[in-house]
Amino acid sequence: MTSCPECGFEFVPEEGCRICGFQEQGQGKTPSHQPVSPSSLSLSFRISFSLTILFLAVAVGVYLGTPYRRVLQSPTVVGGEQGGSVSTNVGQATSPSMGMTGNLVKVGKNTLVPAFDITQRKELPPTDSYERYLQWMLKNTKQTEPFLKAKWERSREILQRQDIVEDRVLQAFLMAPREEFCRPYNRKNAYADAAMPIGYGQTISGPHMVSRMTQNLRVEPHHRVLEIGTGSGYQASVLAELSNFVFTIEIVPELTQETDEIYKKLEADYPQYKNIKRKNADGYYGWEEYAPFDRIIVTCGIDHIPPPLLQQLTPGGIMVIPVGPPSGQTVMKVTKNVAPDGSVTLEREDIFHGRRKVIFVPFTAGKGEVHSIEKDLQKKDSEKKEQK
Amino acid sequence: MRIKLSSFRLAALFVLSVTLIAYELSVMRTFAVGSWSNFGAMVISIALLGYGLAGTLLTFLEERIRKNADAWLLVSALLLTPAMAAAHIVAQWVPFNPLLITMDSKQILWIASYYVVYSVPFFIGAVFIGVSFIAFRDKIHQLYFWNMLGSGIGGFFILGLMYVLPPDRLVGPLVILSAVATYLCTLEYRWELRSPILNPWKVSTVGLTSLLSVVVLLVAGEIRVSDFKPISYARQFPDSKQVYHAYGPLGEFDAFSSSFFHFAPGLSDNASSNIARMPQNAFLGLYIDGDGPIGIMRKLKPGEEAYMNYLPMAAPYLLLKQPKVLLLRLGGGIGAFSALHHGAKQVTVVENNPYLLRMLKHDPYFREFTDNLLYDPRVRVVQTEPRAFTGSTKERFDLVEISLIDSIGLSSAGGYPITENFIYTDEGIRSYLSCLEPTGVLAVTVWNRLNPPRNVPKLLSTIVAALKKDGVAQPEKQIFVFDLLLSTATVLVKKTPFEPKEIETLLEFCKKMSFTPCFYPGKSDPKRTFDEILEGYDKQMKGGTASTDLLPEELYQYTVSWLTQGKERELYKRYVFNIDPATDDRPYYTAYVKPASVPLVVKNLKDLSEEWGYILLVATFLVSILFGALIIAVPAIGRWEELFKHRKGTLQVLVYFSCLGIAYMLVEIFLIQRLSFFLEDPIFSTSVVITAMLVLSGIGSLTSGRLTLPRNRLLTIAVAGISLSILFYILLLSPVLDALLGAPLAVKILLSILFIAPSAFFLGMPFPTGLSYVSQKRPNLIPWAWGVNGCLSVTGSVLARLASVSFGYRLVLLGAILLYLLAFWMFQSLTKEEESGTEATKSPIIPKEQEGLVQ
Repeated sequence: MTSCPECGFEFVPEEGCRICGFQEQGQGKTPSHQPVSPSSLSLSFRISFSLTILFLAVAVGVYLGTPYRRVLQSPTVVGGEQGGSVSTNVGQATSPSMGMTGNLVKVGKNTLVPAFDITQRKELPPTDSYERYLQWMLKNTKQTEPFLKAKWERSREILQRQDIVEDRVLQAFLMAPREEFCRPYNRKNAYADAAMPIGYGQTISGPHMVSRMTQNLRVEPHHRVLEIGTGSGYQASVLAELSNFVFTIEIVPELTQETDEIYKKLEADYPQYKNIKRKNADGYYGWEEYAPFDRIIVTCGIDHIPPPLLQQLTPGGIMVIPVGPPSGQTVMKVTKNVAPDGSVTLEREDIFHGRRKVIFVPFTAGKGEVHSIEKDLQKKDSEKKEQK
Repeated sequence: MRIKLSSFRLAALFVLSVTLIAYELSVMRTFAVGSWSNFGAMVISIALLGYGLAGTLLTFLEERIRKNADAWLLVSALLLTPAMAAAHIVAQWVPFNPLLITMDSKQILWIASYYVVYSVPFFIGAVFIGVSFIAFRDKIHQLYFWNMLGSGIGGFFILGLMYVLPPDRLVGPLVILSAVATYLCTLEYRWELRSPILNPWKVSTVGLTSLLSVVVLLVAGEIRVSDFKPISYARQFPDSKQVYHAYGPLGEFDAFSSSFFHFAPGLSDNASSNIARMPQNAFLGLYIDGDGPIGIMRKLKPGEEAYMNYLPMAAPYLLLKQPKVLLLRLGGGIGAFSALHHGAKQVTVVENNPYLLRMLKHDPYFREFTDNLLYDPRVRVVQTEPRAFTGSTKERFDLVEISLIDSIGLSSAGGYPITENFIYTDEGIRSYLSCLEPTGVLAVTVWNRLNPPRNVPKLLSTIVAALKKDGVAQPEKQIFVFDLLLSTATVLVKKTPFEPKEIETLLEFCKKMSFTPCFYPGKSDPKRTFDEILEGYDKQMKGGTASTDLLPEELYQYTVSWLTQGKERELYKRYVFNIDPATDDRPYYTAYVKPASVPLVVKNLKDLSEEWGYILLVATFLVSILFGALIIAVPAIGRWEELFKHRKGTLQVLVYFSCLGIAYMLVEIFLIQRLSFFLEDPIFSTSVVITAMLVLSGIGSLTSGRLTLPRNRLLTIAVAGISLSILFYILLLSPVLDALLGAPLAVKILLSILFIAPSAFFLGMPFPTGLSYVSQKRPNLIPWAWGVNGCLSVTGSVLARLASVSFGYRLVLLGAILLYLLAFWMFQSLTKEEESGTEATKSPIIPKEQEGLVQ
């Protein structure tokens, strides 16, 4: 290629210069190279650029002058005083104790009566074939086929990985409608093998994790089960299939409210959710009012086992808790054993890797300490009476 | 046509070079604040991908560009401003969540989308620079120098900005800077020619768009902090209140007060039956770049202090009366409070984080909260890197304590970062031991939750190796290890053998706390043999399912006894993870994956999710090879005939530039990593090394251009100079750095530049020498050689990390020497036939811009 003799840009022999239009002599046209007067064009150009520079200066000023928002914005605080109870759905009777028959539990002097007794249910979903399970669920619940299919398939994987080994835990998993607890944008992946965000920096744990933690708790219908970290509410809904007395505490007020609404919506179809007692508080201190608990499940990580929770665990009680540094925790099963002589042992076990270790807790502070919660409750009761 | 290289154009190039490097570093900060700090290596590769693509594009367009270079320059400068702003804003909406990476395959797509989004501005910037070099090939020295200088200054420029602007605002000035570069370009544009593509109105429209993007950035440029950053969680606490905020190059510091913070790392389970109440409202949560929290402890009331007796850090105080304590790193102050609680006579805290110290020392809120901890007459604070202090002090202490500051504890989501950690190295341990009184104790507490165990055996092997190097005949008599399953492990090292009485005291403590004594002098062997344990873990990894009764304490016990019996080689070889001692040559306390067991780890990644940092490194390496292959292959396939048929030597050119690309990065990344400790923080070593390397390599290349030597001889000098300076790094750098550790930071920066200078100077020579040869003999290969070099420097930067983690710095540096020798040999074979060896060098045509772009 040659360059244009006038302006130096690309010159095509047949067409002339693409830039200035210059054409070679003999092509029939006279040179038409007429540069626009620099002054006129430059003027408009200069004006526009002077404006932009001005604009730029203003932008820089505004940029540096605007207060820094992200960090200084204060977190929205909605209600939620520590310990404020959001919802109470468990019927509470002061009738005399009827013992631990599976549907009544005595706490201090109070006896809890379940709003719906799960042991009275006549039928539970079949677990032997998908066809029968599907028919049963379609008949007895409002769950729909695609989710039921996904759930059934997930349950096969759960059995294969031995996250669940008991039929009744499997039934609990097969009953609970995980899709209802997922956020709309995750609903269709409800049964994927993944934890999913539910806002507020929290997740709904993956189905395998929930299954394994639930299985390790070995919940019986008469057990008082305390959950720390309600989150989506899914874990508590699984627990409600297994126990008449589920207590759950959530730290984030907005999330407590959101989950509360989900439960209220589902209660008509799943009356067992009426047994879930919920509050918005710091779970670190447990729920003294209803302590001690037979089972405690913690679904948020912490760098140590909170002593108040250990105190609120009954002898023979089991706690499942993820312990470790902020970057990651190991889910641990802790079993508290009290021998007839009052000596306490704790058994720590890694629920995924099976490592197990029995730790002897010498009772230097005396026997009474272990059961101090009941004493506390009695004290509270007598204080109340005095006030009256 | 030829356009003039005016000072405006040079200024535009300079400003643009500053902008691009500064933008690269600001993207890294954005990642650190918004999602995940481990993206450092990724950002480099994104930038270099942009450069590689630009190189490939220019291969095909070179002729066209030459004809209309002015328009190309203006268009690319014009597009850069909105591209930078848009990339920043769009990237904030990528819903990537590292927490889910092992569970959700979509996350890989989100990572890929970061590549797409962020490579655009780098691509455009690289086009500008590439076009400049094509257009002004006769003024290459000048261009090259200003480009290098700009890139170098960019590193310092952004560092300076980090002091005055919060991370959200860093991109703003850079966008404005690129608008300035655009303006400079328009000044020289020949409007009177009335180009059909560009007219002033179009240009000013685009210019206004650019400026609009500044405003948009102002409105929407906020970094979207991932919901999964720990800090997001703290904001949700109902009573959480932000009590502190500061920012700087070392990170963004936020402290929150809330009654929901509870810290008691390693707390004995017995606390529950012995303490009536845990202290309430005892902590503030400190977040650095949104990660954490670190618990800042308040002064406990007399009744509350009992719980400190139940922490593992209480152990050494049982052996020492009124000890003089050296605390390495302050953390949240719990170690200092614990020392005072246990009756320490004096506590010396070595902490190098100026923000943490400023906060605790000068912020009234914190002074009150900690009850003036740092003003306590018994507490002395030394602001420096722990090893700089232990390496230079003449003082002797009764107790040196390192508690839970390992990155296993506090790190980014998902996995621990594979970063240099010079605290837990062989040389580090020896340095701490040297600060002890003859009867003194070194106490190290780390997390103990990995299965199969990794960090504790690695710490043990490092400690035993250090004792052995110090000439201790029976190290096993000076070590006491106890742990709490799935919680913490503590190693006590005495300078002299433990007395039977001391062992008794510690065993009594363990019993009272329900801690397990894992190893102590005289402990009898467990029932199981070591072979059974090793096989057990081997089976666990291969079979995927865990054995129920493999307890870490047995492994710890055998680890110490095998190491002291001189069976370390067998142990390192047979254990499933890499647990050989961390050294200054390979300071990776968190690197446990053996290269050969990568497939096994990938198979078990769900169970070993904390190892994905290493796996990601391997994956990035493979991806960079793939990118490289593509960028090399596209021109090769498109112009096969021209490049390979009847043309001998194309392969040599290819290999030559590949070697240079990889080897340059091996040296540069090595210097960044090794000096990160000397210069007290990676951010300083990164900026110092980048700037020094770029400027000094630029000078090296200028010098090589001016010397009238035959190319072969020039290359001989360069390769000899490079090899000698690398040999200096291998043999002498560590002792020299150790000796100078105590110097002030400014002096250390100057010294670092001095150490970098010789290698950087010579490293600047082979590239332009090669290019000037190619431009003479095979001009059509230039852009391709440039692209190949750029791509392989991506690979080189990742390879450097991977290799130093897996094999140590020495091998990395030896590799670099070998690569330069290979390049030398290639050049010899290339020139043997064609050149008589008398021709003087000519100017380099294309800069090795890519090589400068690191971190």
